[in-house]
Formats: sequence, structure tokens, C-alpha cells
Amino acid sequence: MKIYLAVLKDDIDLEEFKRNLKEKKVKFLDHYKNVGIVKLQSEKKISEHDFEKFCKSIEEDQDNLTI
Amino acid sequence: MEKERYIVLLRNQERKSLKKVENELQVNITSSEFLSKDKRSFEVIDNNNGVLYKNLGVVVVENMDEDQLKKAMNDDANPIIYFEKEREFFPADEMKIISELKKQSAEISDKINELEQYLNNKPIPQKNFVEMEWGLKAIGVEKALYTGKGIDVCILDTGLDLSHPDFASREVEGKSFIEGEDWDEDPNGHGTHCAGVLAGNLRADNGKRYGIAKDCNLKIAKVLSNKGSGTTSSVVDAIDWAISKKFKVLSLSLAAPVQLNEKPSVLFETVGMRALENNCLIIAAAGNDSSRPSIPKPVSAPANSVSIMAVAAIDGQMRVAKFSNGGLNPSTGGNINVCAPGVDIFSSYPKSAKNKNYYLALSGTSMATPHVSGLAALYMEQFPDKTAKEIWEIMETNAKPIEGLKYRDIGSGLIQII
Repeated sequence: MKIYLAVLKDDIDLEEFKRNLKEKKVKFLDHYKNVGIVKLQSEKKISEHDFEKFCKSIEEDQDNLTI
Repeated sequence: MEKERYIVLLRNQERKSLKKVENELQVNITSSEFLSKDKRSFEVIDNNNGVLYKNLGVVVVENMDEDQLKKAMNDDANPIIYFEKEREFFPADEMKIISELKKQSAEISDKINELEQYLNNKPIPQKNFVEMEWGLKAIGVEKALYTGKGIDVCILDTGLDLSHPDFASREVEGKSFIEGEDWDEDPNGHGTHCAGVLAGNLRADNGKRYGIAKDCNLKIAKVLSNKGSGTTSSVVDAIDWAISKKFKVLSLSLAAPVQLNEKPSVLFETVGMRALENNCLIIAAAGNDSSRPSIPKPVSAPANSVSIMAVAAIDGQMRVAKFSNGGLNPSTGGNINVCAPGVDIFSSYPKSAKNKNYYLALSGTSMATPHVSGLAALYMEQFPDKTAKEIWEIMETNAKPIEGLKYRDIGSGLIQII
């Protein structure tokens, strides 16, 4: 299972996006409303091309930030 | 040339004595008893001679050598016992003088009252007797009239050792984004160090000032584990929280290296932009991957996003720190915006078996970043009507270029108090 962070496009239908995610077996984990980003979980690799209608970008969560 | 007359007092007027005076001063002395309408005193004196006023024992002479007169006066064998320059006198109406003095005295008294009132009512900044760490001096904190009062500043790091004596009595709000680890403990120490630079005050051990915005409202988001690493999602989560709390400055002393020509992440670009839209300024470390001068590395993420302010580090000799990343990816973003002190920076640190003191010197763009965040808090207090974006612009406009250093490495220059 991998975690992804998706930057949402403006004025999307969030409910429609959630339905779309469900169909593609992608779990909706969190919505960071102030920055317009959602946290997703998926077994398969996903990219913005899979959700072009809703997302500007989808990046895999990285554990590479250090002091 | 104006002529000067001297009044010379004689011990006696014996013939021998007068002869001695005539010889020494090279004048002929005419006794006052021989003065007449045809031989007036000033005529005698104007001809470089002297007049002896017998009743007074005084000779009036002109254009004398003062040194010679002094010497004569100090010589006991000489009849000259005193001399002084002729004074000018004016007719005096005593009552008029008293009245004039009273008037002047009243005017002075008014001025004193006015000055006293001004001093009592004006908040004069106290003269700074406190010694400061070099980083604070370099950015001109000695001149600062602001302390960040009322500005909410959040540090996204390894947490804060809230038991540290410099923070124990402070009201600090925080949240941990690391499962199983608390924000108010900091076994790592990095976050406590950054908090000290940004918001510390005076060192308990030597009294030196080491923090910039001592009166800001300090907020802590623990996004890095005790081991010093963290995920993008934790940082995004923390930034979302900080924006919801309306914090004004977010200080990110964290970085992930990027490759040459790597594009900045859309994610962080968006996060930085949304923060600015919400009047919140994100300031991030440029990263420490370089081995200068031979191997500079590009600005790390998230500082490489154009909506996030990127901070490079300099040392006490005003050189780029050898580890400090530079703007090597200018076409895709990734410029340095400003630089700040980042080498041998003393700040608060948790006391432990390894660290016997509550303070420690560390180096890194991590240390430079809270200098910029602290200054941003001061600017925000100084310019309450300016937006976060405008504060960023003011900081860059007032940064000082450093001779011999490139824009690529220090951006607009060393941040400065205004």
C-alpha cells in the first residue's frame, strides 16, 4: 500500500471524485482543505493521468525530508 | 591688526624698578603726573610706551609679549607682580540686567520643562547593553525596535523541549504529526535549536541574546521524528493545520535533496501559494548538500518552490557556508531568495548525557532559516497592514548584498533589520 498526495483542481465535484476513487479501488484518507490537497492510499501505482478531471498532480508520499 | 593693551601691576615704583621694567619691556614709562592736554595717555601708549598710574602702581602698555610678562611675573626679583589684558566695560543699568537675566532664566526654565515633559512621555528605546550572538549582530538586531509581539510563528521540526528553562514558562501551542511522539519533547534537539534562534531570549549561562523574535507567539508542529526525518504528508498536514490556525510565518528547517534540472513539486508549489493567499509566509532551508567551493548542489525541496522563500547560509566571515545549496536550477525555480547566518550558531538545546549545557552551537541552512523567520515576525509587527507576500518583498528589498558573493548563492543578500 502506498500513500499519495493529490493537488485538486479548482471547482471540482468532490463527491464525484470520491466515487471515482472508489471505483478504482483508491482509498480516500484525508482532505487538507486549506491547501486543496487530498491524501490517498492505493495498492496500484497512480498518477494524475488516472484522475485528470480532478487533479493537477499526484505525487507519492516521500519519507525523505530531513533536518 | 588690533592692538592689545596690558595692565601691569608693580610691586613698587622705585626708580631702579621702573628702569628694569623699561628695559625688559622695551618701553619708556611716563608717569601719570606728567600727562596733560598735549600729552594724553593714549598718545603715549599708542607710541609703544607705557603710562604709570602712580596712585595705583599700575603701568599700562601695548602689544606686549605675554610670555615675557609671565616670566617677569614669576621672577621674584622682577617688580611686575601681576598683569592682565585690558577689558572692555559697558555702561550698566543694574535693574535692566536683572530684568534681562530673569527673562532668560524664565525661558530656560520653560525649555527644561518642555524637555522634561518630552522625555517623560516619549518611549525611548533602552540602550542595548546585552551582548549578542554573531548571527544577531550580522542582521542588525541591535537596532531592532520590535520583538515579534503578537505574531504567530510556527516551527515545523522535531518538536520543542518544553522543559528547557528558556521555554518552560512560555505559553507555547503545538501539535504532533508524528505518531507516538509528542511535540513538547525533543530528544533530537534540532527543533529546540531552531526555536531558540527564532524566539529565544537571553542565554541563562552567559546572558547573551541569541533569539530574534522573543515576544512572538511560538507554535510548534512536530513533523520530523526524533530521528530527524519526516514525510511529505506530515508536512502538508501541518501546513494545513497552521493555515487553519491563521499562523503568519511557518519556519521549515527541513529539506529533501533534488537533482540538477529537477522541476519543483507541484504539491509544494501549491501549498506555498495557498499559504500566501491566506497571508501566511513559508520560509524553508535551501539544504546542506554542497561541498563548496568545488561541488555546489541545487536548492532542495520544498525551498525550491517559487512560492516558498529559500534561505542560504553564510558564516561569520561573510562567506557562503560550504554546505549551503545554491540556485543551480533557475529555469525551473529553485533560486535562493536570501541568506542568513548559519555557521556556529549558538542556541537552546536539550540538556542530556551528551550535552551538559542547555546550549549548543550548530551549523546548517536549518540555523539560517529561523533567523529569516524571526525577522519576518519583526517585520510583520512593524508593518501590520502588509500582506505575507509584501513582507517577503520587503525582506528581499532590504537584504544586503555581500561583496564577492553571487546572487546564485545568496539571492538578494543578507537579511537586515530596518
